[in-house]
Amino acid sequence: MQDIECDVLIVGAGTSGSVAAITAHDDGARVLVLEKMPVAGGNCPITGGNILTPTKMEFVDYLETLSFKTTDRDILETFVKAAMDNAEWIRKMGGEVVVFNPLQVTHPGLEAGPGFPQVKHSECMVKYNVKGTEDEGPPGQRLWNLLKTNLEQRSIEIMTNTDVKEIVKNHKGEVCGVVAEPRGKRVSMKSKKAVILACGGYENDPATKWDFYPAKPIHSLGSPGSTGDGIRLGQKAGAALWHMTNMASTIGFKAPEYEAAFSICFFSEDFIYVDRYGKRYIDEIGVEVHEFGREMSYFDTRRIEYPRIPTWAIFGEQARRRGPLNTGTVGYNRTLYTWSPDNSAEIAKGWIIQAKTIAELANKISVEEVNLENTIKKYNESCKLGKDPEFGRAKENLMAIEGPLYYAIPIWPVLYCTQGGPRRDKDARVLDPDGEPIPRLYEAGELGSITGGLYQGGNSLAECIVFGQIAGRNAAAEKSLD
Amino acid sequence: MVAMTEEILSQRKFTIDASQERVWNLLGKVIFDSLPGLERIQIRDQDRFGALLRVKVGFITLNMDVSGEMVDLSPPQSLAIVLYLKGMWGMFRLNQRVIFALSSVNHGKTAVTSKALGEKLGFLFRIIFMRKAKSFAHDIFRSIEERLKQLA
Repeated sequence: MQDIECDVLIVGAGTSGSVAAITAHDDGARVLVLEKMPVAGGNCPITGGNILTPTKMEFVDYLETLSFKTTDRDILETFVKAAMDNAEWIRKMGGEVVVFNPLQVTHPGLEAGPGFPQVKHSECMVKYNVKGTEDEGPPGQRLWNLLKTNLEQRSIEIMTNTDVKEIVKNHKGEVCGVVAEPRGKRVSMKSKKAVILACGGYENDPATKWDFYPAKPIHSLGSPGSTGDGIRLGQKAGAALWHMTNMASTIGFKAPEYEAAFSICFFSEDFIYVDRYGKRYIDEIGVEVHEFGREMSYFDTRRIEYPRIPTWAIFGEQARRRGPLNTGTVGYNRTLYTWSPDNSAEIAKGWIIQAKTIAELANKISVEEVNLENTIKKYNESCKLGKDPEFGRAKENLMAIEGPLYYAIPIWPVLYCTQGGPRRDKDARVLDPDGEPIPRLYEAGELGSITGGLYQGGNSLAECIVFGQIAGRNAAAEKSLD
Repeated sequence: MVAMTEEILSQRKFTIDASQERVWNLLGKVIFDSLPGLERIQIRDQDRFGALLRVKVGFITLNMDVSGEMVDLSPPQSLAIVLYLKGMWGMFRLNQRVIFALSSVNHGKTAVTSKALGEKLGFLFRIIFMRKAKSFAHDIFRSIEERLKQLA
């Protein structure tokens, strides 16, 4: 039974789904967006809001290096060429952009420039935010406000609480609709032109994470709605998968009473990270913020354990007083919890452990006392010397950990986004294992992202805008199945 | 040129034995590190932050609410921050514009010019705290110079 009919069905009402919907609508298609969560937006309002925008085509080389050549060059070329017009697209939607270039010290944990400046042509980019006032919320929220306004202006329907269960094909093998469950009731929906999968990653699907990620446990910063639905839908429709082991992961704290994790950063340099044996293992400030997961995922085959999960962030009085460990600018918890400015509320909750001595702190966090004392002694000596011979932390980042009180918080790898999903081509068509397009099935955004290795910050939103447009345009251009 | 409502609290010129790029990269961090009484930083948006500044005046510690706004961020040449300081339930107010200008000089060195200007000084502030504000700004600039020289 075909209960609902339209030209283009879009699964997911986040950034890429919204861009695809706007584009397909403007190209004359009747569009319906299906969203399983109670509200639309996906991760958009809770991202950092940085939109990567290349300034030269040479940026293709940079992305190709970061992707370890797992992404075909023609896809990267298509992406870079289109992403150069991201600011123009925002303007076309009625917004304005501003270059993201804050004073880094007030934005710890956020990269203003390229994540990997050591790679050739890294300089061929800027990051934009949607311009707005403080009252309009952080940049991610402002982007979502803009998309939402455009969806409303076009009267594009979004069916929330609608879980898509299956992609339907006709006798020719063409995708012609989906089976969905709006509010639990099974309904067939016909798409006369195409279906676009834009339903995000699998940050909250434990089984898929367990299969593909080399660190356990790994939490998520984003929407609980990212549970890998697009992967399963794509697989059932015959899609090949790619980039399944790629994820952008920072560090964060997970409180049991909150679904998502909190990202953690420090406004002051008097902190270190230690493994469960109380030993440093890294230049804490030298790691690209989206790649912490790789550093924490070391597995000790002799002990049969992940010694760096959780890692303990150990810090001194200045770091505690200088500012909140969670800045509240990104993540699903952004609107659910406000971290106290001096971290006192989190100490009271027991999220942050406080002690009068290093030995007491070690005991409270079950780390060997001697090891932690030696580690901090050695680190503080490095600060005095202005040199960190063990891990090469830059001298401007060396600040001794001092009391009168000492602090620790457990941190885990936490996901910004995942990149795996159905393989796509430069026209946003979903491909089967032989590299052939599955007729009338498209994809955009984080699901099956073009990022194939190291993650460049701002790439996800850029990709949502670029491939949202490509998918929307090509879906709308399909001949009707009448 | 200094406007009539502004008053120079302190200015300092010095040379750092490092490239302009390097000095620029260190500058933000060093400014904040030179304010040990700066606490409870909160990001408001890309250009604005709030914080609490504890300043010792004689035997007492004065808690000042600080709002900071980056009014010029032109890497690697210049940085200007306007700080709005308010303490004692608003009785003491100081709007302070802090400017840093960087320029390359011979042999890979960088000249740094720093200036702090007081704006819209409250009457009580002018009477009681002007000397302290000047010496505070002077000490901060000296500390920034020393730290930059150390790290360069």
